[in-house]
Amino acid sequence: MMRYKLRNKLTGIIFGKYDLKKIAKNKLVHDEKFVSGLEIIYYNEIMIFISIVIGLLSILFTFNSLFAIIPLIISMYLIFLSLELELIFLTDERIIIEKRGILEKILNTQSELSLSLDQIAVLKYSRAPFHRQLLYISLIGLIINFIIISVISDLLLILFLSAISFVLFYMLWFGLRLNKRSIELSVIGINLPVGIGRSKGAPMSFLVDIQEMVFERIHHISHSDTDSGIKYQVSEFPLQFSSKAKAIIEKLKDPFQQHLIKVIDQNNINIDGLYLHCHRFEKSVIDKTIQELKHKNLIVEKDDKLVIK
Amino acid sequence: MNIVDLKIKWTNPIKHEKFIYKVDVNELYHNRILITLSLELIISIAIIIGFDLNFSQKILVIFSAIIIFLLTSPFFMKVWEIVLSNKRLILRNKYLNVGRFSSLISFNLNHLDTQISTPRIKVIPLITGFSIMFSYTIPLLEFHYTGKISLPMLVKIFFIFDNFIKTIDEIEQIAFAIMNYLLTPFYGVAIVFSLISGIISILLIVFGLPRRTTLIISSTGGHKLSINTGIPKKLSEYLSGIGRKHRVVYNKDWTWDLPLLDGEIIQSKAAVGLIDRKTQILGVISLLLSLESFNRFIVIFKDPSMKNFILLLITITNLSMMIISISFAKKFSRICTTNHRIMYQDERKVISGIYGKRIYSYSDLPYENIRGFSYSNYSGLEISIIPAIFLIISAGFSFSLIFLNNFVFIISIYIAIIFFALNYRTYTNLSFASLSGKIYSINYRLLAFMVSISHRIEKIDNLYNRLFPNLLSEGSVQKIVNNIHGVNNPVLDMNIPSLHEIDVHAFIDKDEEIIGKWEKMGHHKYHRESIILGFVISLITMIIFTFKIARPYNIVFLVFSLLMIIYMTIQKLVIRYNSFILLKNRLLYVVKTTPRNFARVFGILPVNKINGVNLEHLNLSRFKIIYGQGYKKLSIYLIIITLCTLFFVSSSNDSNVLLENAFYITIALVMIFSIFNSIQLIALLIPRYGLSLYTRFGEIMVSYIKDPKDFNIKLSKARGLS
Repeated sequence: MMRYKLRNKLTGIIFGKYDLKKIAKNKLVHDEKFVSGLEIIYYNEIMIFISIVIGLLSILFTFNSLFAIIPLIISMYLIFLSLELELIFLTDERIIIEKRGILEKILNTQSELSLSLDQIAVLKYSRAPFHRQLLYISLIGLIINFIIISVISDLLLILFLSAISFVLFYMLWFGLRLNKRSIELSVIGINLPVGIGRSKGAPMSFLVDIQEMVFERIHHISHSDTDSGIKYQVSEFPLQFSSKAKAIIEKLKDPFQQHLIKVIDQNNINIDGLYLHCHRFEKSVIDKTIQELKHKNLIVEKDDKLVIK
Repeated sequence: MNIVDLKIKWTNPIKHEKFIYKVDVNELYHNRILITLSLELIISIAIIIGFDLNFSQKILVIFSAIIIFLLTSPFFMKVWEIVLSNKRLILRNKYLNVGRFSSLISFNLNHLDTQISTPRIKVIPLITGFSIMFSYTIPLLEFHYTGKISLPMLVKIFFIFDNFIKTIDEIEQIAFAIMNYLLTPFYGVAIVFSLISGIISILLIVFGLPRRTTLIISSTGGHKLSINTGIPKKLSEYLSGIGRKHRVVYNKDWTWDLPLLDGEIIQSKAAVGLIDRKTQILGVISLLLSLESFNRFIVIFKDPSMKNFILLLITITNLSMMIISISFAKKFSRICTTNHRIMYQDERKVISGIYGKRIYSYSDLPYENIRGFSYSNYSGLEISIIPAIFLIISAGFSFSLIFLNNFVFIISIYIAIIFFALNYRTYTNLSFASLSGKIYSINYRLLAFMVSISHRIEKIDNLYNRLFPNLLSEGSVQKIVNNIHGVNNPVLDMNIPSLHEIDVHAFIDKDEEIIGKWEKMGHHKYHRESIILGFVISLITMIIFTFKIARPYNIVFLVFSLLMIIYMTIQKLVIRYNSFILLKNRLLYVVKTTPRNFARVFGILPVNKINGVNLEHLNLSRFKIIYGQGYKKLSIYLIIITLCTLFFVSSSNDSNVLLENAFYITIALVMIFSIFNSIQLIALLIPRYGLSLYTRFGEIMVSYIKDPKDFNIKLSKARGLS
């Protein structure tokens, strides 16, 4: 409860008050409908506390030795990482991803990404990719830290720097992001996938929302013919049955005959296979109907297998 | 098949989604297993040998190695669950017994660009198996029965060349003696080792042979999804049906792995067999070298025994491998078009050679996803070969001067001519680009004189097909390209055998409206003044330098500068131009080089390059004034010229030392070359209008166009905007 209050206070101080639905209303274009929204707040009070302490200590130590400026820079970077806000709006046309961080607040800038739903090719819900920048920085920082420790002789400073190396290890752990699960969207035209909730993790329910919207959108787009002018029929369920079978089924009235035609059309089988496939029916019934169909000249036996004529 | 709703919970089914197929496969990481196993073995053996351990400690080491292997074992295998629905392909993977890093992928089948169907081959086990067999099993078996070990083929070839030069024939015997000395202690155990390695190699080969197909699909954005394991054939069949929203039809005459769709008719085919001459020649040489082993065929009749029988078997396996290496030096690739899509078949060369059967990978592309084609045909030399030819001739000439013998010079000229003929090739390429960026190309290169021979014998079908299986005829190129664009009655028919240059009109339909036509854009045909100016300047410099340079090398210099002058004039006589043709919704762009007859005598052949781009993939057209083109090169050349003149002015010509004169000559040649090029580049400094078109196929750059406004109006008209 205490943590929750602190978090709300901090976000309130830094980002101000905001209402997700009101922001979404401003973003919508004409005839666009808002479907669902998501706010991902990444907040790490340990990081903030540590970075404040390090910052203060390093300011003190700079009077002693200039090496202590490095921890100050690290603490500044840590503060940037410690608080991040992701606002994601899903409409029936697009996904809008807005990122807010301390750096953006200071520089008074905005970062907003708007993706069209029908350009999303692959949806992936998996472990978040490594934060490479942070990994490199923390590794380099660790190496520099160890070098400095081996050079200097001030015992207090050594203790301080070795404490900082633990912080760097924490950053390394954060950069690996082993615990976070994010939604990765591969969009046509962008080489790298777009991630949602890489630092905090995104809920599965939002993935389901996106998925439903993406396929709903595609469902409404009709399949257009090619420019070449050649037309061929596009069927939504191509494995159901062929155009030949469709024509025959429309003619027939007996449901069992229709069923047999469907089975023969979809599976390349002989009579024994048909018995196995329709095991609920008696063999004599199947034989009788097949002979009727043969008599009507709808089925032909070719290479020991039943084929629709 | 009964089509039911998708009810698997982890897939998060959406509206109107039907279940079609489900399969679980395991992806094994052979590399990880091999690396960890070998590392553990090496480390544990090193610990056991290095430290003086007692029995219980040894057991502890082995036990800890096993535990480490078990701990790392989840990362050796990935468990995939694949579900196919009518709208998407849903995959879930996790490491063995570890659910933590699992990921869920759903691939939208509406954005399916291509599905590549290729046999799953475990390359590493296969190659290690074969290398064990041919470097341990067979030589050791041979060693056991004959007491001799055969030298590797490369060493044998080396010995042959060595014998030509040195005429010492004892080296081979010395090598044999050394090997015998080294190997005799192992004579008793050779059969055991050969048996063990034989069993291992056969197991590895059987394990590595292809049985099932892998899954590689890519989206129109270029995102690839591949599972490096065998998947059941049914899944790829269903996928090829659902991905193209069509019913799969089984046809007995159809041998490709990609099934045909309902109502699909094959319209045209083209095939090219690329021959790798180096492998073929190496195979023939090794066959010739192994001629001596043919006596085993006679020995078996004279003295039929178990030993001779096994030796015969060994020779037969060796010979068969050689024959396979010769016959599989040819790589096939085929393109086939239907009324719906193009299909591409590409051979996996190395693997089909090892397997002894041609193995192909297939991919298909519907016409909506094609963004353009490009066809090019030209013959020429690589630039690096021209100086080499001159070097050979001049070296022969200087040698002939030194030894006072013309024979070397004549031979060097012959070598240069052969060198020239072997490197003067014709390059032909036909390629299609898909939306995702994958390029399907079918190409060949052949010696230019071979191509001209092929033109002469093309009426004799039988001979033509046997001698030139790797030629892509103009008629088939036209057919393939026209099928894609739906052109049924082309203006020009390329099926007449006497035509060997495809015109743009071969790709345009008779009914099609030509909206705009810009022909022969580019520089002026040739600047007569520049030719004359260049000729005069170069003659003057030539005369000055020939009198300045020492006597014996005057002739070489004269010959070279004359050749340069001829080359440059020929270059000026070649007409290079671009032309555009705007049609409804597409653009044809032609780059053409037509040399004059005088230039043709010197071997410059026409270049023909045709690009077709769909206008929806033409992103940007830009007009701009281009000026100062090539000023960087010009400044470099000018610096070189000034440096050379400074050198000539400052130096005296008293000495007659051979090396110094050679230095003079090279500097003079460089100077003449740079004068020629700088004259050419000065002409390029004149500012003019250029047009550049940015397509998804690449950038088309036209350095000169007359009326930019007219082009824009017609472009919008072709797009259907006005």
